[in-house]
Amino acid sequence: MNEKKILIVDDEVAILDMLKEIFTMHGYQIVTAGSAEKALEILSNESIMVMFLDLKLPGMSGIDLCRQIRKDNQIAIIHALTGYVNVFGLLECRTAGFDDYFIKPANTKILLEAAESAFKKIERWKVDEYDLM
Amino acid sequence: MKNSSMTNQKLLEEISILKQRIKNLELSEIDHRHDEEALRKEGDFGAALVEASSAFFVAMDENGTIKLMNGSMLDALGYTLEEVIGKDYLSMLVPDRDKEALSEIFIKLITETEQTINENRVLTKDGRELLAEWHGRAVRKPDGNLDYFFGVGTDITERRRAEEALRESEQKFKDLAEKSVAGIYLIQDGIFKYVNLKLAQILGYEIDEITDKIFVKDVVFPEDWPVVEENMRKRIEGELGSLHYEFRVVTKNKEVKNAEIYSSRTVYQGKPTIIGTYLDITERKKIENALRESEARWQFALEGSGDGVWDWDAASNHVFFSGRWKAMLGYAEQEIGNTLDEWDRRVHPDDKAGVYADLERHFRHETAHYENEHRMLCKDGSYKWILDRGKVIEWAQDGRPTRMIGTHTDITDRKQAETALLESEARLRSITGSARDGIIMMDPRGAISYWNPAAEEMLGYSQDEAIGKNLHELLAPERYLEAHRSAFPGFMRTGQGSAIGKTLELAARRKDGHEIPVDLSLSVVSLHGEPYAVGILRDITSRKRAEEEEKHSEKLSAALEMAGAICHELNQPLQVISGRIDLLSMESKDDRIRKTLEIISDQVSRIGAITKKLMGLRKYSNRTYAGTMKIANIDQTPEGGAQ
Repeated sequence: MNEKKILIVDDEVAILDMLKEIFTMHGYQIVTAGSAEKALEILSNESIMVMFLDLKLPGMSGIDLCRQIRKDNQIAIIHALTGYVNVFGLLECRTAGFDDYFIKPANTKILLEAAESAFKKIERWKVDEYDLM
Repeated sequence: MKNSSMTNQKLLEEISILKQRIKNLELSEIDHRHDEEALRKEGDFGAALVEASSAFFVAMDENGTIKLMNGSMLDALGYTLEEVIGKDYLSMLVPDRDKEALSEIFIKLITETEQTINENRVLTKDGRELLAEWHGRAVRKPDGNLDYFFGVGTDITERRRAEEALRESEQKFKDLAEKSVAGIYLIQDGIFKYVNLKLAQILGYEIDEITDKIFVKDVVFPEDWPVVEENMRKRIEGELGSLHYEFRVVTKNKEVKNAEIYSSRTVYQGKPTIIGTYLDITERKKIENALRESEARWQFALEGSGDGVWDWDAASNHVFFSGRWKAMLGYAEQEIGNTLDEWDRRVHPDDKAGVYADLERHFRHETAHYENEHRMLCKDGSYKWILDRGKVIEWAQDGRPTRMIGTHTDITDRKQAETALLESEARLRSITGSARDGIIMMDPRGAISYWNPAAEEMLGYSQDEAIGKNLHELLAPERYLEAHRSAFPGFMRTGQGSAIGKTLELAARRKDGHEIPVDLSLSVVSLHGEPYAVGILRDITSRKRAEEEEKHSEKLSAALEMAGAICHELNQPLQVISGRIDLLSMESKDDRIRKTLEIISDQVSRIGAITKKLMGLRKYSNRTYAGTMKIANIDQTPEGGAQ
């Protein structure tokens, strides 16, 4: 399992397309979902260890999605990507299980660094060798 | 044994002879004594008798020369025997005015008679006269000539004096009795033995019709007879020395009169007798009864009003306390006597000084009547408040009061109500005094009648400045006056108004001219039958400010919330733009394009920074912008401090 697969969840297609292009250009395999429900469905079928979740989603919120994911997977690196500071603060995100927190509009370079750093951690931890999934 | 019995017989005979001899000796002794007594009788008996007699005894010869005088007479005259023996009786012992009469007695005895009885005086050595009754007697010789004569006299000086005094006294009694304005009587065995003219007149009889004819019982009013009879019995039996009482009599023509009697016991013609004076008090009784009736009437009238009545007689220091007076303090009629002390000792100790001060003022004529409110001790140990009112109705010559009457009114309930009112007022004062709200009362004419300390504080006017001023003119801003002027007459008439019972938010004008916002709660209280308005004012300046700030802050947070939502919406496309620029920049080899994309990227970042700041705003503040205009300051952290 050498491909670097990232799950991006956002209800706005323009953002999903843009991010998919950038990450693909930099060698990542991108899986996108427009809602939390869709994301959970994807995760039930394949193992993805790095994620970027929008917090404001139709239906289940990004916070609840994170909590749900963390029930089965405590190792994955999960990033919040939000355009709304007041409602979901940093503390709430950390409590829900997010590893990092980016406010839109987030700098492309920083997002790429975050992705790279996440895969380095996963590589270092060699979690795939234990075949936890 | 035979020899000895012989001897005994001999001895007995000898004793018998001896006894006879002794008896003879004793008899001769007694005879001898009798002889001696006889001899003495012959010589001294007469003289002893004369000496022992209390009567005067004097003997003279035919010339009137004193031959003998006994001790009794010598003692009475003050002479010794030696001084009188041989002296001439007439010239030495008889006063001049009796000499002639006595000389005649002497001649009679010498010449004619054996015995005389006469009264004449003798002179004592110190010149006094003694009156004596004399029995004279002549003693003759066998030839018939006078041997001597003697007189036996009894001193009757005292007896004569007493007889004369008695006669005088009887005369005086008679004179007095006849001229007396009081009836005078003597009663023996229940029958009149003597009445004077006055008593006869009172009873309507002639004196002769009464004396020895009328029984006391016949003139005493039948109902009073048992008392009179009992009193008469007591005096006759000496149980009572003298007596003073009243009863009624019935005159000859059946008229009933009131009698006042002073009587005592005496002896008249050797029998116990009642002597007395009789005063006709019919008229006095009538006046007394009229007075009593009149007093009874006003007492009745006063008692009818529920008041107790007292009547103080200074001379006796006795007080009449009416039944109601006693009942007011819980006592029965017989439980309280008639001394001033009965009242005095029941006055509450703390009130006593005031009571006597008020009494003294009235006694000094400083007050038209006496009036004092004090506490009186009741039988059950409690105290009642009494309104005591009185007036002196009789004054002595020297200005001291002699009689005073007055009333007691039970004012306990009133006093308790007064006390309760005072307490309630004190409570109210303490509440309104410490209240933080201004409390103001307005009388029916619109003037301020109450103004508490909080009102002073709030509105700047002291109590003295505010009381009596027209409330609205003092406090209401001009714009309220018209509404007040139209509503106030209606309130005065009905005690009601549209503002009563509500809380109004108004402005009040302070003394310094500033207006302050106030909550005014209005209510109405009826005093003396007129409506007074009570207003409670609360300074709501700070509440107003807080309310406005809250309103402002609500508006601001709504704006901020909206700004946040807008920012979120802006951030989405910004994210897309930012990402697309980076993609373009990565793909482009043209330096000019990359340069431009870099500039665009910087501007997007700038917009992103602004939206972040906007979303972080929690608290509103502003800063001066372009001189006078104020704009929101967004350079703050989410915690509120300015960056």
